[in-house]
Amino acid sequence: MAKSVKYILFNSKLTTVVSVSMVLVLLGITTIVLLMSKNLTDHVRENFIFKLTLKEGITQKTIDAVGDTLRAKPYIKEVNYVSKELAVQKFAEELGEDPMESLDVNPLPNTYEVSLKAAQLAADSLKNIEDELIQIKGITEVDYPHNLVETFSRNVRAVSAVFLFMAGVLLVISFALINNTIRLLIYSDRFLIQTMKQVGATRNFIRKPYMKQGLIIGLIASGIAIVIILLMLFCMGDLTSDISLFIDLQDTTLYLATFGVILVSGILITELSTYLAVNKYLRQSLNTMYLI
Amino acid sequence: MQTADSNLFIDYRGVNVSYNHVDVLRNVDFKLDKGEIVYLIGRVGCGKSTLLKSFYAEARISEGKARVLNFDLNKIKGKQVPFLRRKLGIVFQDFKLLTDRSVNDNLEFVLRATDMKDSASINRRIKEVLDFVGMSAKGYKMPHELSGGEQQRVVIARALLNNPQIILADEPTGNLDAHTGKEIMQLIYQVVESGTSVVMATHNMRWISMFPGRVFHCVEGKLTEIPSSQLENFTLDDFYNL
Repeated sequence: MAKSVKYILFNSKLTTVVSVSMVLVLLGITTIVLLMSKNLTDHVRENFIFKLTLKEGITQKTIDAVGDTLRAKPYIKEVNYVSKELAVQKFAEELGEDPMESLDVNPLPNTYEVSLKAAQLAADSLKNIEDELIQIKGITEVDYPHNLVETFSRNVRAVSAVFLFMAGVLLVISFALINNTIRLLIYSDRFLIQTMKQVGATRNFIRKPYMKQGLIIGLIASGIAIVIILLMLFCMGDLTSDISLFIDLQDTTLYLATFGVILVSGILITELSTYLAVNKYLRQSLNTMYLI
Repeated sequence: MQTADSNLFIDYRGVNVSYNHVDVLRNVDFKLDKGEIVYLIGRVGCGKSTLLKSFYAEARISEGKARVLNFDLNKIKGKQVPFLRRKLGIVFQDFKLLTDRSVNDNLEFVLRATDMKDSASINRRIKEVLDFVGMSAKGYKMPHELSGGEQQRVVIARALLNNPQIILADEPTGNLDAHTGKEIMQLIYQVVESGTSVVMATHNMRWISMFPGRVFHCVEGKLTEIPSSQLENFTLDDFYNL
């Protein structure tokens, strides 16, 4: 019994599955970090407020019509109407005293405060949006923190590039690690492959069971990695209440994207590695096999 | 691409055989007819195994004209090599069974690799060849559970699976005791009697006297046929080129 448990634990295929799944967990974590950084960026972007000043003296009907027009725009996420009265009330709260005590007329205009969807917040598309909004009848001015948006967009681009580069490097490292593990597994069969060739088996016939084995290893390793990532997300949600700022644990896209990356990478990398390793030994003559 | 004489299985004319880009054998003239047994003798490293390897396209023909069965070895492509090997049966000194599967599975692998798909036919053929080599009761065993003689019997069974026209045997009794070696030779001779040709590299002159055939002597990359009239006077000193 103890012998068979030891055999299973140290079986080279099981070790390969475990090694591959650990690399896939790393890839899964990177995917989550990328998604978290995107969520955080979107969250900041969608909190930039665009203030649209309304023309003095327009009717409530026109104000409502402007609101409806804004809500119909596909790039606008949220629309809030701030009347003159509400504006002065907010102002008073900020100042700590009521400005109307010293003024006869409320000088603040009626405004709409809108936030845009994150995807629209690239600096070059903002100019077009600004031009479009100013055309709406009843709006006299569009005001938003130009410099802040531009600086933020520039920084996000730089950080995204670094993140993507790191993800790319990690993908290469993952491929190298998995490829090495699979190659060692096939290496142990190199003389069997040679014998198979000598008894008249074609390359495809020899390759087929190894490709099937690679697929099974990829699937099992992906499954293990997905379970580990699920447990990690579960623990993260349980331990930190502020996690929602970075990631929405109810969002199915998070799971689909992460598990998709793990599954596709797991299968593709193991299959490609198996193909390359088996081909290497299929091409080699018996004589050179002793030199490896 | 038929050879002129369909009973001429191997036809080498002025052939140089190279291994790792070095000509191991030079100017080889060799013919093998249907149903004959040919022995290759000579010192270790003289090129016997390389000549056998050239027959199944493992070693390259660098010069001359070489034909094995219907294959022109000068022009053979990698994709054709498996189809040549299916017409040959190869018996190695070190057996080369697939160590990760049972005897039955070893034999099944060869049959499936050579496009036999029907399980009933596969099982029938496996039983036939195992019966022939006297191993029908041990098909379930793993290679490591068998003795050297038993493993060699399985290798002969494997070589016979596809009814090969030629069996290439590279010192098939080299790892066996005299008694087991004789049993293996008797098996091989039965194969010859059934019409299959055999080319065998050996160091054992006893087999040549027990199971007569043509003998080629390999010395320093040259292959020379020893006429049967001279064979009786051929001494061990001649054999090992002492």
